[in-house]
Amino acid sequence: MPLKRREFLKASAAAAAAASIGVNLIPGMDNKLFADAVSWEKSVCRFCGTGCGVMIGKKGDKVVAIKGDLKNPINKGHICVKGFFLHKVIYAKTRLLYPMIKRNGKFERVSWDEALDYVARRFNEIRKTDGPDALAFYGSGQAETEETYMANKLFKGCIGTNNMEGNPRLCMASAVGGYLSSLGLDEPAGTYQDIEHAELFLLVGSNTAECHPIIFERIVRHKTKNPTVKILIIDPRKTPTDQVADIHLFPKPGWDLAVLHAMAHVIIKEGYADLDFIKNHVNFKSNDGKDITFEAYQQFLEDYTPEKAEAISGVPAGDIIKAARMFGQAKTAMSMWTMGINQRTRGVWANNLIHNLHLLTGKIGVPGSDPFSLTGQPNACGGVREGGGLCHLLPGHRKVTNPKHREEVAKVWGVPVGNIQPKPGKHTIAMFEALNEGKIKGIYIMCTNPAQSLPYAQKFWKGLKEQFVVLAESFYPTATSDFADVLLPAAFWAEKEGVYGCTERRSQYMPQVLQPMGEARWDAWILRDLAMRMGFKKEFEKYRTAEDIWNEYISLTKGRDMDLSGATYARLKKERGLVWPVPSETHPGTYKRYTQGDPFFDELPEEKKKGRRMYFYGKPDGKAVVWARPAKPPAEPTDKDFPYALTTGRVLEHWHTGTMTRAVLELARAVPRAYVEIHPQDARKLGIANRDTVVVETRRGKLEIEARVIDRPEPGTLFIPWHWKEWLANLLTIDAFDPGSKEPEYKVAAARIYKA
Amino acid sequence: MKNHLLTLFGVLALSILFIGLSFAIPEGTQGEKHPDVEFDVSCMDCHAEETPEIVTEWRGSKHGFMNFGCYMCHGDGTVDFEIKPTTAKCAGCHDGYSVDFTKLNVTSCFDCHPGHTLQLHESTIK
Amino acid sequence: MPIAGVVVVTLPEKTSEVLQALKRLSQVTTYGVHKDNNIIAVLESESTSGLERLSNRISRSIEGVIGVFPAYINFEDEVPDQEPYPPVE
Repeated sequence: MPLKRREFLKASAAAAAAASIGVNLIPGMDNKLFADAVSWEKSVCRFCGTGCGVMIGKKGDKVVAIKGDLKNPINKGHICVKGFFLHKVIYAKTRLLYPMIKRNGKFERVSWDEALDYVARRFNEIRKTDGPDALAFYGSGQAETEETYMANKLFKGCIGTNNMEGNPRLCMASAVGGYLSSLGLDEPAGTYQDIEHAELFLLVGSNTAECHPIIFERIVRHKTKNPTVKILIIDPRKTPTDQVADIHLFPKPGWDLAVLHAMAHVIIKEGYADLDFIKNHVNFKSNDGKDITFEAYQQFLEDYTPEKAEAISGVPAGDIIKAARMFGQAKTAMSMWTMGINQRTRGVWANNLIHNLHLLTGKIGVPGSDPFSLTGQPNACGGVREGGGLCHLLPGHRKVTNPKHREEVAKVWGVPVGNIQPKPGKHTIAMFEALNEGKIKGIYIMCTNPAQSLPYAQKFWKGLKEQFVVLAESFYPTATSDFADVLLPAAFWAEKEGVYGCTERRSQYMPQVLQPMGEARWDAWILRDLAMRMGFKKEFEKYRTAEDIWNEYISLTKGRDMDLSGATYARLKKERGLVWPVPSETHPGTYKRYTQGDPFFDELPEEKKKGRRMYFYGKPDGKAVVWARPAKPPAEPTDKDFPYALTTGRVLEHWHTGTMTRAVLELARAVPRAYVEIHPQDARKLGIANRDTVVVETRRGKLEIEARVIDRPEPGTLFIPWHWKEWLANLLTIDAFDPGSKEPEYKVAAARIYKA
Repeated sequence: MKNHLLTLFGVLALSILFIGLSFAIPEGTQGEKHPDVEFDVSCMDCHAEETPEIVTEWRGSKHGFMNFGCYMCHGDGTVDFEIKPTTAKCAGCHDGYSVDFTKLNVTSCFDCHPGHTLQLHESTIK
Repeated sequence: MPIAGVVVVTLPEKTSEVLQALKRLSQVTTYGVHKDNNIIAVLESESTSGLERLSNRISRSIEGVIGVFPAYINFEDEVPDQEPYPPVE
């Protein structure tokens, strides 16, 4: 850009005027925001599961700015609109500052001693009279690994109940089920590095542009440099992600399994299958888990011709064929999916069918090829999947049902192995049902907002109202705080140290740069002190620092598939995270699993590796599984009375239940309220105009909301973003869940819509 | 929607905004007043009616592509509002481009990269 | 199009109000407050007479302005239509 003469003249004019009164005015010295920030510390973004590195700018004792961390390999300095305003979340007016106990329907400020003694007494009473399974813990994919670890030990190891769950159950449990059943072990084989090597992206059930903006940015950057890169979208709704789509298939919500099968059908029929890879790396199984032959699988697929899939899903057969050919012809392909696939009554199967495409074509285990599930929360992978924060898990990808696993964990925890029950506890929906029924009488909720986020939320308010509810939160009020008996103020991001593990198996350290606001305390210490007051002094008094907890945790990962034993605080403080397995302090981390460079693969005896470029060591014979799953419809298909398919989701500017983003004025202003998107064709039919107030109704509830007439959803589909408690989309959603993953079907409910 | 905005603003602020586009100004203008509007309408919905040219321009830009809205540079409209944004905020997302303006003959990122029209070098947008 | 670099001197208690008022003028760019009550600003106009009118408007219509003192004027392509821009009393 040539010099702008006028700007130069203006600068000179200003400088001259300043000089005339003895002031030295250098153009550009206006960089106020960052000039003020005297120190910068690297951390990790608090929002989605991408794991972007951020720099926290601090002046005095105040955080004044956030910028992207240039050295972070994930985001390379870029951040999205939410991360940009993180510092404003810290200083939200809605921060919960003091412990409070509800008395006569009103919250009264109390001391920490009083609050914790009260909770300890009530929990012990319940435990004594109704047994340990009358207590429960409900945690979060936003909690640090250290925090979830402490809760896990207290509930599973000391109190002795496996009623220990977390909101990742509502988010990626189906992805876990998919990875376990298809590839043998949880979490992706590849990393974000694959993006820059992929020739094709299959984005299915993911609005990447709005929900994972930095991943979208990387995809766009890659496509901009390499215009032959193809982007194939399968989603019932047009989103900003479509700006870069080469082809978009629009299945009716919940009817996409047939489309994925039909793609597999075309891929094999037209010779795009990698027969060598299949021979050495793949087993075929029928839905009941029995081994079948490749031929039998092809026979199964005979039923899923593109034409039949069109009849089921509404996607034109020609488009399915085109998509299948694109997938088959690309040398490398990366699939990414999120809630559109996971939040389904057949979420695990939908995951399996995506893995099928990669296994049939051998598009896995090489740079640019991976079935790569995207995560919605910053530490769902780290704290909850790896840390074992669900009712059937123990730390280090272990299971409560495995006696050896229980023994290993009990030993490190310093508790009798008999304390850990061999049976899984209640999964999330069952847990809140049990609360309704009075079978669970006390629950500790940490860092999440189930009164708003559970499907068919109002159904579960009964239990929250009737039972003893302790809520550890950074914000107040929230939909859930209305139901709490005790509120414990939790330190927020930047007020505590700890580790987050993101989508790509990378664990990253976050420093404490601030004193917690008010009387807020770190969740891990709240749990430690509660445990000691409940009588578990010996088990908990040894934890003095966050590093104590982390060190104990990583000692439990030694030798496990997600080995983090080499990821010490000392290393994590220096590096921009480490991608497991990291089996030693000198190990650099692992780019690709199950193949050369993965320490577990490299250590395999030669005869196992013979003729194979991948060995899926989570499976008995090292072979991944292609599943012949039937194409099942959603739990609640549309009908005469409820003719529209309602699907819920997100917008770029807000996150989850909005407790953080709605406290930032800029983001609140950007999207101040919820709305329902309806296709112009449907709107015309119903006499609905843009911005009309309408009622959306399902069999469970109704919601008065503003209509947005827009061609984003297909005709017959409605969409509501769920971030607002005032327009609570989950009054409408269904609590039916996947029998395998127990993840509910937020994405499909039958609805009707009419003018208010 | 029209009545959300003072007529005066329509005339005055628009001219300021247009100038602000091409001649970004060194000093931040914190304390500028956004007209008192009903903020339960989103920035974009209102501006699509009030300043459609700017919104159209923005939509075609890289910022529009990524859906990085008005508020990123101009603030929330009440507590923090800058008609002519400072360049300081740019670095929040574009950390890779630290610039020493004392060595350049421009005074602001916006001199070469106007926020509303920022283009992708090779268009990927369909 | 002429440009003038000026120092706007204000009553000490009115400095911030004057600054805000200046910022609302499209032909004025401010460069901060210096030495308590001196605002550095750049004025732009179609002509030097326009600059003069602008300057007068600032000193007369904005409460708290003691004076507008130019330190630099550039005429670019314009031929001055009168004496170089004079200080206002």
